[in-house]
Amino acid sequence: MSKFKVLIVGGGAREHALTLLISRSEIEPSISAISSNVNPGILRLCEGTNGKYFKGKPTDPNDVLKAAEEVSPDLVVIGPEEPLFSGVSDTLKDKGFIVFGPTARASLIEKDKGFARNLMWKYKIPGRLRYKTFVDPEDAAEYAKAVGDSVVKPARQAGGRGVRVFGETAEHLSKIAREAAASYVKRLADVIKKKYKDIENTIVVEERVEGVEYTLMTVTDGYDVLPLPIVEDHPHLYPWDLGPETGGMGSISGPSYILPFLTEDEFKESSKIVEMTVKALFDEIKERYVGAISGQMMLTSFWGPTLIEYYARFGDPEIGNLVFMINSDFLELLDAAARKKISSYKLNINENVYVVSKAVAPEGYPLEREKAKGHPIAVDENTIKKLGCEVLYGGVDLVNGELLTTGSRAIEVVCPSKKGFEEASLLAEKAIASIKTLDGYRLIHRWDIGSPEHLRFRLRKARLARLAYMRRRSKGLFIIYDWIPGKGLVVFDYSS
Amino acid sequence: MGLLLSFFFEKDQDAGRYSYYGIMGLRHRGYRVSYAVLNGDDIEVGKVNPWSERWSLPKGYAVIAGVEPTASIGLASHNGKKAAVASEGLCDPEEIAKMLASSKIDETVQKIFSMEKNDSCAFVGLSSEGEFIAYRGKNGIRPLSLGGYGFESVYFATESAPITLMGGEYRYDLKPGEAVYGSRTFFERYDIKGGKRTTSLFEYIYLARPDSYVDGVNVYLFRKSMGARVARRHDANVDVVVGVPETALPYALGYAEEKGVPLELAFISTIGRIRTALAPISQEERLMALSLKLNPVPNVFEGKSIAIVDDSVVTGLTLKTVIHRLRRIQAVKEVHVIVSSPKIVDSCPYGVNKLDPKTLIARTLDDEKIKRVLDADELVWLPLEDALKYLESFGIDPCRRCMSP
Ligand SMILES: Nc1ncnc2c1ncn2[C@@H]1O[C@H](COP(=O)(O)OP(=O)(O)O)[C@@H](O)[C@H]1O
Ligand SMILES: [Mg+2]
Repeated sequence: MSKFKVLIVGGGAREHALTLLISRSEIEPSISAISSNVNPGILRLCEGTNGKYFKGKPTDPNDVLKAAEEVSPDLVVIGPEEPLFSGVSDTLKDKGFIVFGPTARASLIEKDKGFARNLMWKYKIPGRLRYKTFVDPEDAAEYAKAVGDSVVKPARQAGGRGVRVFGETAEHLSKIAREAAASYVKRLADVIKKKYKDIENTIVVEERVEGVEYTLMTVTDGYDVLPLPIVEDHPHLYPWDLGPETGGMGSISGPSYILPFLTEDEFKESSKIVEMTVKALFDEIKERYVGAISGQMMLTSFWGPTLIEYYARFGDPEIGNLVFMINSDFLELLDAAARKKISSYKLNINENVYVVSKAVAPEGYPLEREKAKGHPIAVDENTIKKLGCEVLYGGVDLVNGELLTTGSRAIEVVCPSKKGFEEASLLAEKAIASIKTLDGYRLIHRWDIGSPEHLRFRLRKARLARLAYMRRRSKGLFIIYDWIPGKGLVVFDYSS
Repeated sequence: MGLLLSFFFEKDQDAGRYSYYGIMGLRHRGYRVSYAVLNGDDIEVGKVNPWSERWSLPKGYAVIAGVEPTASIGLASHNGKKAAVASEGLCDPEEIAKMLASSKIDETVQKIFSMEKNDSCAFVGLSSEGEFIAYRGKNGIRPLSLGGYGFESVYFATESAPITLMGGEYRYDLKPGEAVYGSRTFFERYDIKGGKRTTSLFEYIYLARPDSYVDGVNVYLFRKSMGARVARRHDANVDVVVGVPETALPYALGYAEEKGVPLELAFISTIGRIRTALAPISQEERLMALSLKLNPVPNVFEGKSIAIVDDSVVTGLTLKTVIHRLRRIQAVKEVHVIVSSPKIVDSCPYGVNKLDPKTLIARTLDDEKIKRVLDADELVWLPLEDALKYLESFGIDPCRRCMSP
């Protein structure tokens, strides 16, 4: 009997984690991969299972199709969002391949933040925010100035860049914050218009909320939605949640499905939001969504579980945590989803483990990426394995035997502990000590992820948000009244 | 008597506009503020009076500021790299600025920590290469809190209220012997073990705003609790409690709550919340200002036994004025003076305050004589141990070198 063959599309830390999870399958698959960089972790797993490693553009349907035709995989797993947006899934499906990963149309749920928000309002999915989309940056600037306390986003998913929060935590800052938002809108629109031509809207301006963030990743075949354990990402570049936005500097998960600062009900409600979304998507585009769909959520004082954005994929770094949490056969799960048979799949997780992942990035990420590129980097994997941790390669490229940074988060370490987050976090610190650049270039990471101080901070915030949203719920207050002297009563209706 | 740093990660933000409110949040600490603003690779310095009508800071993406007279700013440049430092304490801001300008921060921080005179000091600094640094000396006399404003900025300040006023969220207090330095692209901390958390007790008693945290302690709750504690040590019955505006009000609330006696407003200010003790004015002007701050509410205290609660007694001038007024205008029956802090008998060896020992009433006179001067029937002080016990639970063994044991 010939071996079951898998083709992985993408070469980042997320795809490394997926490859690792898939490689553990009892099916003993042969794994091949295609990416524009050479990821040493994925390469090794491909070689170890008699698979092939293709250098090509994961976003180019033709490149991926060529690889698929050469391998003739039983399953193609698309990791990153950009190949989804550019229709790699569509092309492969047309040619008869079985694909884990939504079509270009379905992946609009991530690509187009306006589409996602609109869907939520149209189908009354809880956890929605007030927003407005704009083609013309002048209009957007004017609006941002008028509403205030807003978040400015590129309407198109832009790889975790471009979002800025212009918080008016106090009214005396309104003028400054609004002017800053308005001038930023225009600059952002210029950048986005130049970079992306595949979406009409340029800018989304939405209401700002506060609370504790977490990610709920799920796998779906368009009929059933299977939630995975909740993972909390850390988007700020620096400790104490300071600094610019990144794609995520590390994450924590466990024990079991729910993090200590969330409740069982909040987990269920979050799952419900994603379920309703999958259903709404079907009603909207008449297509079954196949793949991973994740809710990047925030526990807010208004709704409780609130949706910040969707991913049409697994989160990175979030998926890395699951390397130590999934007991059942992950390949079987992805395959079942792709074949629309998820209802019979039983997910088995490690209930008693705390997992901390931390990303290591070369200085310059994300604000001055040019500086961060091209530094030789070395990882002492043995030491890290001895600590019981895993290494996931991300923004690196193996060039003529030398491992070079590509300017993004280079490497993630993932560490489990039976005792708690603190131990896992300290293990990760030790693991990171054996990652070094060979030119002495500075690497940065967050020492506070998983620390008791940070967790206490989260617990406190979550408790306050919970008190507030529970009160609102108990009174059924989903229509907000505001009185603006001279203008009159303003009503915001979140109930319809 | 206070430090501030704001650093924005995007150069399009104008740190000066946010820092305006941060400096307003420090102005209860003094009447003159020196600042340095980082704009491109230029550093501009200047001074403002935050109590004056119209002032603003120059444009830039990072600001440091220090409240005079205890804080000052030093500037230096070396091979085109410029640095500015605002420091509090015995360290020399110019010397530190020189070090920051001439070598890598990593190496410099070590050197700064190794100099003993820097132990009681705190400073914030900026360099023209877009670096910032915040430092708290090993004995921790001067606190330094840290906060963040979204993805936009990082803030440091002596207490937390200025951080909140700049839109930030208060997150952390530097440990004694800890320094944090960073830029748009990196963020490091330097942490020498074995620092002592001898945060200045004067911060809690008088200097900080009641809406601040200082080194992790909620100042309002500290003051209320001291009021309650001194009430437990005071047996006499009183009919009504008053607090001496402004600082003493939380103490008076705590005292009244503990005693179960009503708290009344006794005085209304005509000139706002001016801090007469810190104002750079002559003795004569101070007396005038005091008088304008204390216009008595009529009738409320006639023939009553009252407890007058104050946060501390420095010269005794305020209390004297208050009591004489109540005696003269409302013929109060008994006056119990409740001081919610230990006696202040010396100036600060670390320069937290610049009190003149000759003017300290508790240093010169015994309680009997003070009572006679104030025209009080009773004088009660908060025992030092009460304050120590409270702060001990926060891991703080406060510096009280200016107080009697
Ligand atoms: N409405 C909002 N209110 C408050 N913070 C927000 C809001 N939307 C986004 N953010 C913050 O900005 C970050 C990035 O926004 P997100 O929509 O996830 O964009 P992306 O990850 O694609 O850059 C979030 O992780 C969150 O911290
Ligand atoms: Mg996001």
